[in-house]
Amino acid sequence: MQFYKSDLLQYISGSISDTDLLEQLTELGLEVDQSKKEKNDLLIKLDLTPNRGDCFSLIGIARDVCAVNNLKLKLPKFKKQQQNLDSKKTVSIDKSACSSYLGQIIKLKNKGRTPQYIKKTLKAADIGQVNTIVDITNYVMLHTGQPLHAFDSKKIGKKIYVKFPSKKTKLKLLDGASHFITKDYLTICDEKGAIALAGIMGCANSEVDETTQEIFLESACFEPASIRGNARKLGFQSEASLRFERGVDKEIQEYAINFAGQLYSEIFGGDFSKIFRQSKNHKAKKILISKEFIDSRLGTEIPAAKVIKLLKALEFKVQSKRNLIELTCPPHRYDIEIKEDVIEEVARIIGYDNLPSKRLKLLASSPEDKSIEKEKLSKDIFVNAGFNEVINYAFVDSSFIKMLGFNNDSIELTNPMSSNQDVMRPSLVPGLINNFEYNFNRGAQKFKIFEVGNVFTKEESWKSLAGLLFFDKSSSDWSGSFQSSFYDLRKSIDLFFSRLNIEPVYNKASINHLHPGISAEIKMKTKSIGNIGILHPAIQRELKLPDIVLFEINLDSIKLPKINSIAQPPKFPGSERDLSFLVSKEIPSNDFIKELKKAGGINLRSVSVIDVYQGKGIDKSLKSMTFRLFWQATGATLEDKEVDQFVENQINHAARVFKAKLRS
Amino acid sequence: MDLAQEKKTFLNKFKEADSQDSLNILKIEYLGKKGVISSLMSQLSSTPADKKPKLGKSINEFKSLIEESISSSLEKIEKFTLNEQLSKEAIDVTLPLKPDVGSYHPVSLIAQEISNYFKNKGYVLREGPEIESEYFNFSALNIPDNHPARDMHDTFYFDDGNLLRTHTSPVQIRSMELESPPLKILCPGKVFRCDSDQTHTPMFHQVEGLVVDKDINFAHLKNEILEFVESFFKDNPKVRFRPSYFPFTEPSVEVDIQGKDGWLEIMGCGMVHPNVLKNVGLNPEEYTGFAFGMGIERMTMLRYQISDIRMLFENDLRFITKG
Repeated sequence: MQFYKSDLLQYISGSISDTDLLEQLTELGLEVDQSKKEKNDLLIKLDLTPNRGDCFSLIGIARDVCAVNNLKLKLPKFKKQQQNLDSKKTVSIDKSACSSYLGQIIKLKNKGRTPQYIKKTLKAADIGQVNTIVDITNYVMLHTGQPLHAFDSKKIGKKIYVKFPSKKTKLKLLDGASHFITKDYLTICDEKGAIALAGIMGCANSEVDETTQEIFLESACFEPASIRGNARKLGFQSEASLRFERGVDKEIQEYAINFAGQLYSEIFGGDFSKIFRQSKNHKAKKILISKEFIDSRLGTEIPAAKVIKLLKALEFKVQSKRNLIELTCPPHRYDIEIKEDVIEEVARIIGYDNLPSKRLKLLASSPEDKSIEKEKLSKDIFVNAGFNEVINYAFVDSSFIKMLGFNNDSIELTNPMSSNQDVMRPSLVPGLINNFEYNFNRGAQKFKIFEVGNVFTKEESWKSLAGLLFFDKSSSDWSGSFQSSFYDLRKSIDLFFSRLNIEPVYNKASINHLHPGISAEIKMKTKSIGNIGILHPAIQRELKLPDIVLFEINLDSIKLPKINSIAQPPKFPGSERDLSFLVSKEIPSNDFIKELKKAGGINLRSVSVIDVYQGKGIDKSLKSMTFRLFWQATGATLEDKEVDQFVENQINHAARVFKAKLRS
Repeated sequence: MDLAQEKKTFLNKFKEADSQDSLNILKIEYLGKKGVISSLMSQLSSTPADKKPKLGKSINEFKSLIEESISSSLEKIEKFTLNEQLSKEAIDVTLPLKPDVGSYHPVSLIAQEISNYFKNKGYVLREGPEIESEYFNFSALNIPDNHPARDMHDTFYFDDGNLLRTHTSPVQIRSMELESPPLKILCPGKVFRCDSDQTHTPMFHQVEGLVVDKDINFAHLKNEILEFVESFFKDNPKVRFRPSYFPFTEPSVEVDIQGKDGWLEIMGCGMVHPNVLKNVGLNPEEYTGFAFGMGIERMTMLRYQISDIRMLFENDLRFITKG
């Protein structure tokens, strides 16, 4: 809603400075979006909330300003025009959708031109001039909030109906567009068919123009429910639908038609018919409220007299009933329905800044969501391990994820912002690759990035954790400490799992977007919980990317660590042995270690790999692995003989399971 | 053996001994079991009684001279050797290093700060799904179908009728359906609206607080907000509460802080609308509550003086690592 201060002041008996007015409007909940000084006037643009349909009018805004300033609202009176035109129309309305319908035939005697003051008001509101007949309806609407519609009286029939169509109908509206409308659209019809889309826009078949000599002026009140959403479904919003959707004063129709009548009479000179009228009695909403209730909800004491005074200023009718106050709601306030709405009115006029504040003593009792804790812990671990967190949009380009080889079960958005954000991400990897490209192209040479976020497929959604590692070796510095191999990233993953007290297993696996030879599925017991590997060379080539290492883990499938007891370290010295085996190079070290542990007895504390060798001196199908084994007992020093026995068992076991030979 | 002659010989030899080894040899030659001193001592027994004390004293003096000379020389050499080793081992301690410095995304940092603040005040963190139903995102929150309030939310839809949540408020409903009051929760998370310009991105983060119990009133809400603002904005700005409209709160209030160039909107809040309480089976005559919510990007932009929200999602490492 946009208007000049001078137009508003017509309704206020008193003066008010520009600064005060702007501040007060915002503090009343009628937020000033912009204001501009113009000549001797101030142009004000309000950003109105959907509940305040009444303030799409100068009178409505003035009413609030008067209430907060303790000023009187000045409403000019309009006389009924002398009704000497003998013309007949009948009106019948669907009372479920239209609470009142007033119509008047006005014969325009002379040519009329839109006066300057009307032009100014329309321009302020950003409403274009059409012709003087229409300009007057718009002008009255800006003042009263009542949308009026002028039909060319000669183009419509004698009988006017307000009704929902019985079948799908094609309409050509005033803006020239044609629409098929269904039974949900309230229409104004004559004997032959629709002449207007009620509360939204008139039809072209009954349009007024410069040559129109007689109009049928409509001032009606349509129920918000019968208008809501309809204009939007047709793809536009009109000044009328904007107001009817939010609710138009149920009692202002006659005032508005007389206001317009006076203008037509002044500008054109006119003969007026009687006002044809159909309406249903509307019951004003009543609310019973007590001073105690208001006090308890605002946490303070407000004298009843003050409450009553300010509600009266807002045009509530107030009646005291023992301890209760009975309020009759003003017909322009569709938004006031319950006691809490009244409290808002009281607080709004007193001013929230003038209300007290009080410390809350309540403490909560329930535990935090584990998932949030897990997300926080994951972020902490990776940040401490030197990773930089990124946050990507949750929607990605479907063709990109297809190219990366993700399954074709991502969820499509019905109304994406653009085609490169058309599906919900099934993985965090596409986002990380985008981040890599963006930064690599801007000269970044070292990447350790990660993200935590939800990912989605048609079947389910889960919280994911993913990361990317890359280092441009040509930019290596003297320390040479940054590495970017598969194993370097795995080290970070191992760190993560060890912090969570989880021992994952890495199994070779084939994952579409990863190098089949340098990738692994991460498993917990038998469940697959993620993957790690180098981006597939084919994808690298297609995207012109270097070797990047990626991982992704399903956080939902991981549990937070339980609290364990901490065992005292053994006091007796242990024994260490190194064993080198020759074994087929296809055998994963992980499997080998598992078997060494099986055969090593309960006192085997650790098995580490100290050397892996393939090459000169060894058959091409074999590799040499050297393990360092450490035994330690809790109750006594282990005898060499005992350890020798374990070693012998292990050698035999490895020979049996892997055909492994001890290297001398 | 002539003591004076021996002394002279020693001093000559000592002068020439310039290493640890030669000094040790000298030490054995003179102080060893079969050394010069012990043979001088053995001569003492055949010396006349009247000359014994004087000679004895002289031998002992000679012995002390040897001991002191050798040990002080050894010490010097040790010191020298150590110094030599130290200077050989010296490194350039100023060589530049590039440690892997991890970082949280600025939005994460601010979300974390806000969450921690409210956690310390006894709020419990809750989260909910990002793909929501019409019911949780709108209807249960008193936003009926076709209501103009839905225009405030440009919603992303899916073909099955579900949508991307436009605010974190559905978590209020989900929490109230699961737990009975007293309730004091904080819900951070991603939200989505089809909008993109300097102050809007199609995805952003909100954090929302909800308190429900008996006798919760507006004064409590006001205090909670004032204390938070004081903690978050270190320069203690002036705060303004002004009326607004959210279908799920009544009264509804917007909170502004005084900035350099006027008021800056920071959050919305209000008392939980009775219809929302009814929708989760609570009696609004018995229970009341308040809710508040803010955009984390907005708070991040205020904290770090960022003017274009889209920068936060470009993930330029020169930018997002600086929080």
